[in-house]
Amino acid sequence: MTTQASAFSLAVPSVPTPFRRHRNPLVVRARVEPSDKSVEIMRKFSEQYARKSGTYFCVDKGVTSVVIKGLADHKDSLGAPLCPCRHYDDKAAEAAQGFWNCPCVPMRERKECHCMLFLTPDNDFAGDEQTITLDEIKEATASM
Amino acid sequence: MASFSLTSAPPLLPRPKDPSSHAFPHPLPSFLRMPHQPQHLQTPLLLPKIQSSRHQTTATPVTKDLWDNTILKSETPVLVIFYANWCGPCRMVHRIIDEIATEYAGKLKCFLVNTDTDMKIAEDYEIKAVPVVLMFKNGQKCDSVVGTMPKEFYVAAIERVLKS
Repeated sequence: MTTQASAFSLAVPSVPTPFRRHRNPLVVRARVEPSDKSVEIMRKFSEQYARKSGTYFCVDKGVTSVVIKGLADHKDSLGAPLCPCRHYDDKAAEAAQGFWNCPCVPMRERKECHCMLFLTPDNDFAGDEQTITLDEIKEATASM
Repeated sequence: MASFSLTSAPPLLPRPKDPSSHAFPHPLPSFLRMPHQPQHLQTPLLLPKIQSSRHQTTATPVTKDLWDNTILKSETPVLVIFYANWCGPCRMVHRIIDEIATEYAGKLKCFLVNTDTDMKIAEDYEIKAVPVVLMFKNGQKCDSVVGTMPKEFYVAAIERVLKS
């Protein structure tokens, strides 16, 4: 919880517009972007791990892009690429424990990635690519 | 998207309001919102849709404060999707649920919960993996779908709930 609170507080002071502060708290608390360095690290990791495990990225690379950014965000805030597709009571404790750090235990043992970053070829959502460029990630997440 | 019409009627669903919302009883026009900051800097995928949903019958955000009144006391069956900020597949499911919200307007209300900001609801319902879709009827949770499924799967679950 502390990690989340601090992540949110980073976002708030950077916004001078008074409208912002009075609007929906959901919007005010939204997170900052992960660092370019971490995005690049997670992008490379994803490509390598897809090749190594014989899995493919989602046919909708927007999904892949968001997950890579989510991993990078956790790497920045927690020091480990904790899975962004789960809810945790205590993110820091989970990251330290390691079970859900990417590649998580279910992925390593059974090639199960419910985040749809690494999909086995028989999965309906699997595409046929194991590469993704930084530009693709930026483009997919810019139009959000 | 064809369903995104600017002339459509305002949503009948109650919308969450923050305590200071009396100052801005109506959502600000998009050109007044954070003009200095591109949306993608602070919103991972889901929020633009949430904002645009204010004028359509699509899934609406709900928070802890409004949970009892909007979900548990609803006379219409309710569908809630739980998502996390950087969860890629949540975006796919959100898109499906938005379509369903339009198709089932009047028969089913659809809401969104951000588990990163509404941790209490997520904990109350023991949300672990996201996306999760929960369905409520007469204040009771009656079905749940964990993970990313094809649209037909959600439609079948909804039909079961509506007929029950």
